[in-house]
Amino acid sequence: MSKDQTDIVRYGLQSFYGAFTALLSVLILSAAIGIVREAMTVFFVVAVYRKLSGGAHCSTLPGCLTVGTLIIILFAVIIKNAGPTVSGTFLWVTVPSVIAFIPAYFYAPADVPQKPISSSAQRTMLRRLSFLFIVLWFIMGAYLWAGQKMDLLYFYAAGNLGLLWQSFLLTPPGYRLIEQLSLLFRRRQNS
Amino acid sequence: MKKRILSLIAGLLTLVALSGAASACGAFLHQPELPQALRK
Repeated sequence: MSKDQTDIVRYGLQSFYGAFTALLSVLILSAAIGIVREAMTVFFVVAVYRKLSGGAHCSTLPGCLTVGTLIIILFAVIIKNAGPTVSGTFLWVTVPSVIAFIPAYFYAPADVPQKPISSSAQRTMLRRLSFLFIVLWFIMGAYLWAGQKMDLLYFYAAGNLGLLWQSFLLTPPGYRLIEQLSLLFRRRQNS
Repeated sequence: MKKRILSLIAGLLTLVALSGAASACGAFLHQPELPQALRK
């Protein structure tokens, strides 16, 4: 294999390993406290929307794993407790999508130094896909709410938390927060 | 056989790398450095 091919395969391996360990850590921790379905809903909404819109990233894998897993578990716990009360309300079904549209409009796709988006065609495509994701998410929520499908609205509420978190990570305060958390883990690695 | 399995794994990882390069970033909070070969 040439050097370029080796670099590409290594990048593929790093991407796969990062996603796999993240999924595994969320799965194990959420299974331990009995919130697997809620946590997986948040995880997949964050993951899919993140692939399209970009956003802040930790610079180290341990930092990423810890912060990402704890945030998702926290959201799953919140939904487990507050979900049955809020998930069927019209405001909770509609407002998060509307809020998510604002950072998407101003910042999506948000890249990072490790992976700059230099092609304008790719930038336009990802921007459009981000908008499409939010619109489809909104339509799905409206459909579930109109049909009063309460069991599915519960998981939709969990996804809404993921959508809001990912939207926050597109903004400058989101980047600053992740940067601060990354520094914390880098210091620990160095000491 | 071993060589064939290795090339299959390398092919799958290349596919993962290409899909990663086509998206805005990684699915989770960690983003590995994009190689020069995929920045073009």
